[in-house]
Amino acid sequence: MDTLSQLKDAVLNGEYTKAGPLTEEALKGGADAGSVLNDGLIAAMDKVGELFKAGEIYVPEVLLAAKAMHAGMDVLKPELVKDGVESRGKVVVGTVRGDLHDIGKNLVAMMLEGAGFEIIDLGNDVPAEEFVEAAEKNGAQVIGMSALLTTTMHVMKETVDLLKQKKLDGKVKTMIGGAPVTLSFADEIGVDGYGDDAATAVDIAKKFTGN
Amino acid sequence: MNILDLARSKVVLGDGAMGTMLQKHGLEFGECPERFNLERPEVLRMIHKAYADAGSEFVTTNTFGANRIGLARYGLDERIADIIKNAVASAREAVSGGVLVAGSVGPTGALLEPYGDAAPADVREAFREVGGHLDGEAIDFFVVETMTDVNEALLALEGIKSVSDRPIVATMSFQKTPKGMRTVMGHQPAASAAQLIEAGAAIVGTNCCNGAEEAVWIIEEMGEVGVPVIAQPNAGIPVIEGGNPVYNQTPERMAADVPRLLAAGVRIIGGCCGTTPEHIRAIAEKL
Repeated sequence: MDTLSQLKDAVLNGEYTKAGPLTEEALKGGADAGSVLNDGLIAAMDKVGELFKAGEIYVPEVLLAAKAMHAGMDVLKPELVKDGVESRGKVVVGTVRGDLHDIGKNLVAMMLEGAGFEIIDLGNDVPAEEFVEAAEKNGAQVIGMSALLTTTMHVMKETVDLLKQKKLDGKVKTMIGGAPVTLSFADEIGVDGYGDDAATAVDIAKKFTGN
Repeated sequence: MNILDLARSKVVLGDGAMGTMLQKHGLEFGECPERFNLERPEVLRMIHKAYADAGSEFVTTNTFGANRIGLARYGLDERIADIIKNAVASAREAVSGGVLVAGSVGPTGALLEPYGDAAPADVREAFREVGGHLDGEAIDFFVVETMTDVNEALLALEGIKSVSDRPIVATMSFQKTPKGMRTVMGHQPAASAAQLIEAGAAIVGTNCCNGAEEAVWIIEEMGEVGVPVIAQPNAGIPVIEGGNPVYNQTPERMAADVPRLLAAGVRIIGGCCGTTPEHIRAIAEKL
């Protein structure tokens, strides 16, 4: 098996101690940074998303794969910068104000990163103003918001309203997810996208950024 | 009578939600529910009393998140002893006539290694501390609940058992997946139940699942486990009406599934998120 396939398998299987060295090996073997990213790390995380959606794997496997992906990314990042490989787009993510649950948000961030997006992670307990400021400052195309508590979901609407107020709606797309969040809620408050799971969040972000 | 003997002799009626009841009494988003134990214990007494009046044979202390790891997020970790002491006192003062007091033990909210950062020894220690306080306040039994990672549930059992001989009820939250009922961590009802019993749980089952019907599916998947089984489902899935979450399962709708829960072998029935004393009263009529 060639090194890239080995790297892909290592990420897929969550072998986080192997992913870094295999990334190095692939680069040393002459693979360019872009293809290590696309055919190794992103290809693996694509498959992880697919398996997660199908219920073949669950949160621990996704977290381990993401950990492996990050190990590879740490090695790869300087090379990507050197080669001028651009990210797929920038996404601001966070768990909304009043909510300290960040597992779902972290999963989404990892899957997005695994799909080649640049992530601006605001953590948890994030107010509407901070989402919008971060998107403006970083030139992000997407804001992704997560909530686990039904009582915090209104912050999502505040963010949508603030974007409209600043005439940024359309330029910065919004997407939401989390256990209590539903498609009908998303429609009601006027967000641009709703994701049932972390893999769907990637599909939506790809659609929003036109790739 | 202790909970195990009680559940062997008859079907036992538990209580309903605490968190969503506290929201009705002013719990703000982002606020620590256990802060009520320090500042407004009269609200806890009122809720416990309402459940006992509705027929609950045990009430569950407001200590779901009262572990050092969880409380630290609110800067309340040094108040753990008072938080637990007041919670148990509020429950005891509110009920009488043989109504038991169950000590709630929820997850720490930390993810275990290797997929997360929490060292198992630290998590076990957090549960040992909670167990020690609850045991010291003389609860009747423990309810380790809303677990989604069976490994964390096992650490809770280990930690509690190292300081207390009181019976432990252990419940986990499963949801529908393409492969059947699983926790978000992928754990299955039957395998999880076997592990929990092996680790010393006296009673096992499910809580915080999407309605009584899904609880039936979970208990059916769990199969014959050899100990009494408990189900404490949510009042359905919350739907959003006018920006506010509403649990769409009425007491009557939820109670209608009680015969199916009994047919599946459930010996203790209660409720989780969105359930109220009215739900418990409606369930009581079916028993």
